[in-house]
Amino acid sequence: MSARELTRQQLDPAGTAGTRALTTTLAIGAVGYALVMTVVFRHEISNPLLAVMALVMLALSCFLLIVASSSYRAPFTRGMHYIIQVGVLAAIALEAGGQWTPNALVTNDWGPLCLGVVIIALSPYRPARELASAAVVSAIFIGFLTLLRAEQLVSHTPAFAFVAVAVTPMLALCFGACVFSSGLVRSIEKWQRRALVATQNLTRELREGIARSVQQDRVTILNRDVVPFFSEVLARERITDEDRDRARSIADSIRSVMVAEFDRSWLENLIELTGGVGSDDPGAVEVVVDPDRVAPAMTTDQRTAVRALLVAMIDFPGFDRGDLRIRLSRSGPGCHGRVTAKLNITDHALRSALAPYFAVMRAVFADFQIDFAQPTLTLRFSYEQQ
Amino acid sequence: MSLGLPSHLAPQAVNRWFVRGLHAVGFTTLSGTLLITIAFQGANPNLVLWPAMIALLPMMTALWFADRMPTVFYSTAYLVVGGACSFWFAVTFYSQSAELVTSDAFSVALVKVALVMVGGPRGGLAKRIGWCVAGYVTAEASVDVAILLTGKRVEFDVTTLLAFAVTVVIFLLNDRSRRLSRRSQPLLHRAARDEELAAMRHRIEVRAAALMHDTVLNHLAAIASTADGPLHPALRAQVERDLEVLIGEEWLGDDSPKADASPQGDWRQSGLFAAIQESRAIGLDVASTGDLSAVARLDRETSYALGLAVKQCLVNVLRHADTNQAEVAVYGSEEEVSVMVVDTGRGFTESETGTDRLGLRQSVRRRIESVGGAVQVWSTPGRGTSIMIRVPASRGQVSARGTA
Repeated sequence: MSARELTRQQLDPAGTAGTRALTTTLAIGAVGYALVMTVVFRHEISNPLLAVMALVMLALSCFLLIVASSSYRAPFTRGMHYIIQVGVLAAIALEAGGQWTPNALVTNDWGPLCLGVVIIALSPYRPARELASAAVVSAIFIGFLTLLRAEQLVSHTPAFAFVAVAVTPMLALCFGACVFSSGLVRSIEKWQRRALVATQNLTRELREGIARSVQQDRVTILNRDVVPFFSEVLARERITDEDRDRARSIADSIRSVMVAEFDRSWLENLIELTGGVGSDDPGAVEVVVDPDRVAPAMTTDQRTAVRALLVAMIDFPGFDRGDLRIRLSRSGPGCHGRVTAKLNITDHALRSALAPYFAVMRAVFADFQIDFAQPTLTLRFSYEQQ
Repeated sequence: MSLGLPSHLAPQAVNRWFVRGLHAVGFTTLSGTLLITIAFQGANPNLVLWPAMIALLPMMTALWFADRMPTVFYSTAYLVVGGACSFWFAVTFYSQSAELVTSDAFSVALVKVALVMVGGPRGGLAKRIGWCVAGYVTAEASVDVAILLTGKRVEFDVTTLLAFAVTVVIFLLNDRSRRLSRRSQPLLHRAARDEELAAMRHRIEVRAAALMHDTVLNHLAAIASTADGPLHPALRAQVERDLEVLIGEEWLGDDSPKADASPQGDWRQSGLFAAIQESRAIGLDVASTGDLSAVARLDRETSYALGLAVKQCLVNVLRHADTNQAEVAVYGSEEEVSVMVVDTGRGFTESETGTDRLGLRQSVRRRIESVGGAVQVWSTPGRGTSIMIRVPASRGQVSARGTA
């Protein structure tokens, strides 16, 4: 996976999963505004075909924005941003072409304002710096277009004022969006640094307890077999055949316990831990199928995302652990994962309840795919080997 | 982990930066208005627009204060100063020719939009919308009064209403979007913490397993292969030490190499030196060659891990290679230290060793990989074994590489 960008979508995938409603509203609002303005000021239109094409182009760009902002299609790429922005700029150019008449008023143009609104809608998904620089380039383009039109407008308004009127609303919305987005990203980063220190401190505090519990796990077998045997051997002067046999047998039993522990992955431990006390639950060995032992190859972020998703799913009302299967396998140079579960809920309920977790999964796995054919949920993802 | 802000902090951060975003919109519209006014004044020196330009300055200053100190006082001050300045701007503007009013009513709207962007101090959704309404009402009232005073006709201003409506909609939808993640954030943060703890437990388990292997299992194997008769004094001492370690509590204690990761300075203090000495004590003839002082550059944790890993390699030579001779060669570079353990014993095929054989896997590979190093094994049955262990000279310089 490439390095993560400093966007809200990447740094706060769960929090950004809900911003799509805002993006959709703004995108639809922009198209609605353009439509209303075109109808109200239709007398300024000199070329209806270009005016209609402008609306179509804007609608297409906004449609792309709505589609691309889905948390199921995250991350929102720079390329997609540029395609949308170029689309809106083309709509602005077509609008100007459609109103190439001396009667037109620059303030009645819907283009720059719609671009500003689109940039606000883009702000959770792209870095502030990229948005600002794209807005400045757009402002130059709109300014140039306005200058061309200013030459043939019958008005005493200075050309520079035309340009300022045309670009100010767009730049205002864009800078507002940039300040909001970059400030929030900085807050998230600051909090994450603090949280890291807090977690490290907590881990340090709990270390002793965990070390004791690990020790306790081993002390049983050591106290039962090894300590008495060593004590006896030390107390005695000679080593006998019986001692040798006993040494071998104790070594074998310790080794088999260690091999079993060594081969258990974090995922199997997680499944065991979340298993509750139900006696009918299948064990981790049944739930997790990982013949190539690739579970340890996940990064900490990836493990956290899988852990949170599994815990959320297991807590789902009516969830049956007996239907949960996690299959990991090596696939070329990387690894492939597939989680299947049965959930008796509607597609909408699933997506709204698990959307934040899916968003986090999408942020940390290269190609996370969700397939829900009620009641079977299938999740697929890939990751590189560390 | 990228989990975003926790749910108790998120609303505050979102509100604070949203308000600052509104202020940025306000600054930009006021700056734009200033430029437009300057352009008009420049193009037509007969107009008297300079008072309008001056009116914008106190408004920008008040906005700056409201932005830096978002309190009730400064927000109210911005509304009062902004309302007065908008009035002043509109009076100047509407006192000019009808032609100007027709062609540039938009700049008055921009000033009004800046007032709608008041933001206000920290507070709930209703309060924030309340401030927005206050800004809108102040803007409309001050400008409409100005227009009436200049004897012009008040026209409905769509631009300001639109700005007001969009701001309120964004307020509402932002609030709604946070609600969706409010349930999931605690679970995500908990998962992140559990993952940290699980990773730590795993590290401790690996360490416990390696320790168990180095002590109990090695010595049980030594007892199993001892001939009839008294226990060898060296083995006896080691078993006594095992008992002390197992019964005591130190074996999992944090002998914290990380707390003191400074280089050691003298190779005789290194783990590798100790490993060679101990192997010699149990009867192996070890020749050490190469740049031994390079080992002294390693930090404590790496040196410790390297020593234990080499010790395990040498124990394997004695136990499985059917020879009592081995060579330890050290090569040092700026970035890494390599140690080669070579024997001319009977060799083996790694993949064919039993699944219950943990020595090479656990005590050598795992240990070295845990300090960012790598292990390569070349062994041919009948022709001996060479094990190359590479560790970073200082932590983090050499990432874990693929192992053979």
